[in-house]
Amino acid sequence: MIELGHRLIEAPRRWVVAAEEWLLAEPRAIHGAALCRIGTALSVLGLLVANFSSRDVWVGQASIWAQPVRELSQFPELALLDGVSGDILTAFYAVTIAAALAMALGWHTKAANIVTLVGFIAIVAQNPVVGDEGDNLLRITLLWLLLMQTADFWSLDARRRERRVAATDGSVSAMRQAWDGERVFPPWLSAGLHHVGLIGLITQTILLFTAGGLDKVSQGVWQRGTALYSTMQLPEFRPYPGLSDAVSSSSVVLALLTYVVLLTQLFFGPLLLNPITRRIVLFLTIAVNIVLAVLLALPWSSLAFIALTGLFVSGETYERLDEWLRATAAPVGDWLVLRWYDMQDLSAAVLDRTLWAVVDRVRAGASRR
Amino acid sequence: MSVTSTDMPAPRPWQRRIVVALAVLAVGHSVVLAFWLSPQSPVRQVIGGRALATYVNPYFEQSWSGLAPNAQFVDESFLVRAQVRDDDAGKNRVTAWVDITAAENDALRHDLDPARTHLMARKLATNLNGAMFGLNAKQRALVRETYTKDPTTLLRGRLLAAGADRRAAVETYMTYDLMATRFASMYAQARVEGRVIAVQYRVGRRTVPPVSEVATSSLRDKDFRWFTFGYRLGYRASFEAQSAFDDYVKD
Repeated sequence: MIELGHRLIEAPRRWVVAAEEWLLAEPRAIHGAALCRIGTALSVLGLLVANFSSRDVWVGQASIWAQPVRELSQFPELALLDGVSGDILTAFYAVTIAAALAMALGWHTKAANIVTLVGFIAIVAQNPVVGDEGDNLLRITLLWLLLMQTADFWSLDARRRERRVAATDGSVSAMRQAWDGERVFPPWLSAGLHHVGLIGLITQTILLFTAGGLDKVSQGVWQRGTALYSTMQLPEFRPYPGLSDAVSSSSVVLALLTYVVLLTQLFFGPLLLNPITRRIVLFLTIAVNIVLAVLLALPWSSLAFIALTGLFVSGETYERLDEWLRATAAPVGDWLVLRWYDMQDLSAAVLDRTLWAVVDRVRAGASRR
Repeated sequence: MSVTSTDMPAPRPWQRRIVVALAVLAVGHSVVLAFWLSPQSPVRQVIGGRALATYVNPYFEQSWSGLAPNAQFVDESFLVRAQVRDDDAGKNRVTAWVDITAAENDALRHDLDPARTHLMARKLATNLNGAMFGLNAKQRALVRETYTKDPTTLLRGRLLAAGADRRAAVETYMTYDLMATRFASMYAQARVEGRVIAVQYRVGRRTVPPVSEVATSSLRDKDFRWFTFGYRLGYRASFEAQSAFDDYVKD
């Protein structure tokens, strides 16, 4: 009895020690964090590029019609584009696109993450009328990624760091490290912040899937497996009418797709607890999002979900994937290196017969006039 | 100052406590979010919806009840016509109705990553329809009246007088009335010669037939149920704003 009482008293202390060990250990899920960084940045990049040509009407001066609802927004970042000219909007937009690209490539990652976050909010929140839940997801992901170490893999920062360590003793100024997106905090704080960010982002992901799944399961159309039928009939969700009709013409295919969406959202959290079911739910979540990206024309929010799903894939799986990709890509790289000069000659010959020929003809025509 | 990333000493107790405190904050944040995302319940009422909203807005604002893909049933349409002043001839004329959502639908077809501007009229129609559901029958009759001479602030007063218990719904409606007027004015101005002095818009609503009727009926077979709002005084945007809008409409 005394032993049991002693263990009960000791339990909270053991939990705290275990939590400390977990939080201060070598950063976990750094492959997943890197993939999440790439996917999230590409999602922002894709969204901004897709809307670049109509930016003035979407979020610029010609979006004055949306001002009444914009004024209700509480984002201080909105002030950055308040009443600016089209040229300033274009410059700001271009900087945000460049930052998202830099973040995807892992070039000065932390600085790029900050600029992408601020720019994304300042742009997208200008017009809440045409916003969607994907915007909230991207913003929250970008926020949590700020705390995490996302550039340890598949980044230009990691490559630069490797070269520096190989060339020198790896010791540089903290300012330079900060600019290069490296760890400037002491390892205990760096690892701690990474894990705090990981806890925040993982719980956020599980919460959103659970909330979405609970809402769906309460609706009869999801229970009957027909929920996606009506959505696919609406013009804004049928970019390819033939494809939508083909899917909705088969009640079995429709029901399968509907149930997979419902079950992967509703049970996303619990299925992560077992290694086998985790693989299944992650595979299905990624597959479903790829299908829906095409079927419902939701590429960028689907990519954001896939990026989040990547957080839950184990490091071993990523290492195997990385090795496989490098092995597969190596012959292509070798082929290109061996034939680099041939390729240059070939492209020059093609340009001589196409672009330069047209340019000469235009110039000759202009000089005759 | 230089920092190296190797061979650092083991964390001290205060360092451990800081990291644990930060993790506790992150977990606490997630618990608050769970309450924010949960349906109305006595537990949520104890915390208070306003307190939760204050916490999550704006950076953690989210609602996953419509987490994509969600079941949607309603197709909406937004049409506009305008009274146009021809200053040279000294005459007014009324344009034909223009279906903006039809133009948007054409732009959406075969486009895997559509621009958000192709959803503007549709979203306005969705929000206007939603705002109308919040009004009572008497208020819905009032918004059919014309306000080209009187400011729409008079409309707000009349709507409140017709249903003082629906203040939030009236404010929501007035916000979308103003946006729809501005949008319709700019769109009409981009398409006509002359000066837009008043605009009128109407929104359509139709629902997707049930899946059991897939062989016999489709959404295209269904007629819209229309609601026509009264004329509103035309909105004149700045030259730069209207020019940008013109470019968009004419593209």
